[in-house]
Order: sequence, then structure tokens, then C-alpha cells
Amino acid sequence: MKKIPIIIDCDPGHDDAIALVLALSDEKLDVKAITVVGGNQPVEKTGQNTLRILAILGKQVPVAFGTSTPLLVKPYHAQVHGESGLDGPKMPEPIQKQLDISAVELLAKTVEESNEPITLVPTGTLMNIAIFLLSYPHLKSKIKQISMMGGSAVSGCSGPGDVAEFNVWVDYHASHIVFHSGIPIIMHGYDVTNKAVIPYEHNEKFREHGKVGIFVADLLDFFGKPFRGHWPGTPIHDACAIAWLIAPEIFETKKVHVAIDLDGEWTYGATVVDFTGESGQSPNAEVVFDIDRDRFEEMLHSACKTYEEKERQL
Amino acid sequence: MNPIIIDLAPGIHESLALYYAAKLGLDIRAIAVNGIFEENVIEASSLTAAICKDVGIEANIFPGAVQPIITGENASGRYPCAKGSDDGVMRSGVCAEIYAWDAVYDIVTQNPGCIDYICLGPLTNLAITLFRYPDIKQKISRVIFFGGALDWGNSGRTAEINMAADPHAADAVSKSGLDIVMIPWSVSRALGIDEKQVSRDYHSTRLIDDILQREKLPLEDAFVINHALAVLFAVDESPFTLRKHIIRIETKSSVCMGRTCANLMYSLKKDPPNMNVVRAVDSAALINLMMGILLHDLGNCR
Repeated sequence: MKKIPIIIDCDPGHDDAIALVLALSDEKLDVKAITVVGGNQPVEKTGQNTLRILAILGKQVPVAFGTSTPLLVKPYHAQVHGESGLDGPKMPEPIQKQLDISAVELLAKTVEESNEPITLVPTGTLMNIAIFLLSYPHLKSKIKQISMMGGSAVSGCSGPGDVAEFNVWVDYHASHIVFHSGIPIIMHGYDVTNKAVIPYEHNEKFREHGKVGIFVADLLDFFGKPFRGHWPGTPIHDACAIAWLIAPEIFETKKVHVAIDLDGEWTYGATVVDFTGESGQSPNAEVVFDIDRDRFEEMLHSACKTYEEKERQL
Repeated sequence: MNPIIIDLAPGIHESLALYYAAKLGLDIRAIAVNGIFEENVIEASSLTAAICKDVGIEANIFPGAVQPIITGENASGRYPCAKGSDDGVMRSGVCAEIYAWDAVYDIVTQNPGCIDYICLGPLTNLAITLFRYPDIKQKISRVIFFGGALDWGNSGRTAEINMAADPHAADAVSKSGLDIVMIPWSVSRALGIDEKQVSRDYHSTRLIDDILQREKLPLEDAFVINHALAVLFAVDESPFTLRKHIIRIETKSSVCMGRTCANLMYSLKKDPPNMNVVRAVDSAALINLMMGILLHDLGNCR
């Protein structure tokens, strides 16, 4: 089977961690590199979290740390992931170290050396990706697509007016650069990711699938806390960007033009979706609106089982 | 049911709203006219008077704003106005010498805590009333306005036309502390009432029939209820599902001017809500309400 070469740019983060669980278990994907960005917490923490996740999964992938600083505005970090960015599960010490190059350099090196176009999968803020695109414009043509978690077509819960999504909002200038890059974008925003939920009563089922299953259950237990009473389950935002690459048939999308609001008082950082074609601009993104939630949950179970089988073989 | 003041910029959907207001026997104390979609607020007031006469409303009509309080999208000519039904003659009932905000204040002051203010157009007149008479906040029972959008807009990518036409007025009203009900355009659009659900008996008054014929609107467009929802809400809230939200009006963005920002998801913040927002409408119950009126009216006509 021909694998899809991807680079994951992430800021773990509980849902980033589950995205990594999914990505590194699936035989359809070839994870060439992981670059780490600040977002959920500063990159020093999200970087260490990435290395620790790889230790739990028993995987070794080239990892490089990037920036925590937005291009033009102050950094902002999320609260929902706890002080470490990955509170809840007991995390092991890393087995591998990060490379001695920056995330942007690893992105460029990996893309340049690849014989086929690479898919970028940002599941965090878009700072690394924007700097990469600005710094290596000649490599744009070697990017097949960007399957990203971020944005929101209808409503958000980040930014001053609650109409933005965290990843896009934190560095909305970087997001603007990415959305105007001309590279095909598959936008997994809140519209779909808030439907990609694991009902709270399903958490325990994951514990049946070995060490990684227990890890996922612990992630769900912690990350789900603030949503209880407000939402039907724990939204696994970031895993959608991976799941789409594995099983696009479980998603519903629409091609539209997406702009980033750069000057609103309440709306800055929002992904402004042109539903009606009013702007006259050609679609620059495929926005994902719906998901077969049951199939999504099955995929996560299946991923955990894959690790469990390998665990048994050892 | 409280007595009401209706604030509108005359057009097709406003005509339908007035029709329902008349047939439901609402106690209309005044009609404030917003002229920002027109070249002349007096003409707009005269047109409003013509519509009122046609549907059987006897209420004084007061001309109001002629421009947005700061800036707004120039929607003139884009709005499906019922202008053609007017013959240019000044109608009785138009109180051309009294501004809408002065009339509104007098009426509300005479009936403190009793008046529902139903705004079908941009919120300019109400904002000016609030600026001119700040004490009116304690005297208006509640504001029911049609406008805003929770998904996408009909003026630009995200804003609804009433909000886009005068975003700063909407901002002022949203921050006023008044008891506010917002009926978003997106909810009306999503109702999806079609020809099969509502018969052509809808066109049971001469004026509405004339307008629909002249404008050659596709039938399905005629059945987008829009502004009449605010009137129907004032009469019977039961078909409407309300949720409290904090709604912020965007007044600075070059791509989202006039957007009604709302969090439709979970909120991890603790900001207090400033409006009740209609999130859904039971279309079957609403049709029952509408058809009851229509059939009664049709019976009377025959």
C-alpha cells in the first residue's frame, strides 16, 4: 500500500496526543517528521510532551521544536490542558531527543528531500507553518495539501467575541499567511470537531486496549472535565485532521473561500467563511462540516488495539 | 399582551409583519420609521402610512433617522422595498413634525414598564432614543428585534442587513441593559416554510398581493417570514425556543462589520448574557398560528 507522507505540526495537548496515537498506528500514513509549536502551552512543554507521547507509543520519529511566539502579537496559552499541557496521564521520560535544528528547518528538509508532495497536518497554532512558507517559498509546490485542525465556520469559543477558534486565533496573522498560500487546505474547524466527541461513558472502554488504551482513557478523563454538563462528550478536535487522511469518506465537506479577520474588535482571528459566494473569491479551502462519529470512535479503538497487539508481540 | 411600538423601514416583509400585527389586534401605539434605506424618511413614512391603511392599522407614524449613527453599509436599492405602492401623496397619520425618538419617549413615559418595542429594521431610532433619553431604559418593557445572523449573513459574508446598515446603533442597543429578544434572520431562513405548507391565501390583502406580483418574487421567497416573526413572537412565544447569549456587535472589522457574534457552543467564560436569542422555531405551531389568522381573514374577505 502506498502511504501518504505527512508532517505533523502539533502542540500537545490532549487531543494532539490522540491525533498522534491515530497517525502513528495507521498503515496508510507515513509520518516523516513531527514539528512542535507553542500554543496549548509554550513549546518547551509541548515539545517534551511530544517526546513523552512517542515514548508511550514506542515510536521514533524525527522531532524538532519551533516557536511559541506569534508573528505580531503576544503569546496566549490554553487553560484546558493543565499546567503541563498534558495533565492527567502519568507520562514516562522521553526515549528520544529533539533534533538540533528548528521546526522550520526540519519542515524544509523533509519537504525538500521527499520524492513526492507532502501533506502538512497542523493541529496547533500556525506559526511554524507560516514561517516555513515565508522562508521557503520555492517549497510550496511540494506541499500537496494542508489538513489542519483550526477555524470555525459558524461559531467559535475563542477570541473576545467567541467567534474564533483557538489555533487560528492565537496567531491570526500566521493563519492569514497559511490561508492565502494557495496550498489546498482542508479545514477541520469547530463545526466538525465539536461533533467528533467521545461520550463520557465511553472513556472506560479504551482501558481494555492495553497501555495506549489506558493512556487515551486518561487523556479523555482529564480533557473532558470542563465539557461535562456543557457538551455531549469530549471533543477530539485534532484527531479529525488525521482521520480525514485515513478515511475521508466519513466526513462531509464544502469548498468555500475562507478569509481571516485581521481587524475586528470581536471578530479578529475568526475564519470568515463565504457560504454564499458573496466575496466573489474562489474557494481556497475545503471546510469540513460533519463526521460519522461512530466510525471515528471505531478508528480510535482500532488504533489502540494496534498498539496493544504490538505490545503483546514484544 | 403589552401595547407596542413598531420601528421599521418599509418593505415587503415589513408589510407582512404589519398585516399580522393588524390581524392579531396588537395595540400599536406608534410606528417609528427608519429612513436609512431610503432617500427621504418622509416618503418612507408616507409609504408606511399607505401600508397601514391597507392592512387596517390606525396608528401615528413618526419619521426617524435618515442615516446610520456613524457608518454602515449603504443598502439603498438592495432592499426589496414596497416603494412602488405609494403614489407620493402625504398620507394621514404621518406626524412629520415630531421625530420618532421624541414620540417614543413620550409614549413610553406615559406607559412606564408596559411598552414592547418591536424593531423590524436597523436599530438606529432606538439607539438615538437611548442617547437622547437615557432614562427610557427603565421604562421600556422589552425590545424584540428582527435581525442579526448566527451563521452567515445577507449583507457581506457574516452580517445581516439590519445590523450591517447601522452596526454602531446595534452595538449601543446591545450594551444598553434593556431586556432584549433577538430574532435572527438565520432562524427565519432555516424555517423553510414552503408553498405546500402555506397556501396562496397568504396573498389575501390587496397590498401584499400587489407587492408580490410587482416584485415578481418567487413564491418561495414570499414565504420567508422574516420580520413578521417578531410580531408573532409578541403574540405567542410558545413556538419559539429561546436561549440566553452574550451578543457582541462587530463595528471595526473590514470583513465582519455588523456581525452578531455569539457563542453557540460551550463557553468556558462567565460573561453574563445580554439578550434572549431565538434559536429555533416550531414551524408546525407557527403555521397553525399564521393559518388561523389567514383563514379567519380570508373568511372575512369572502
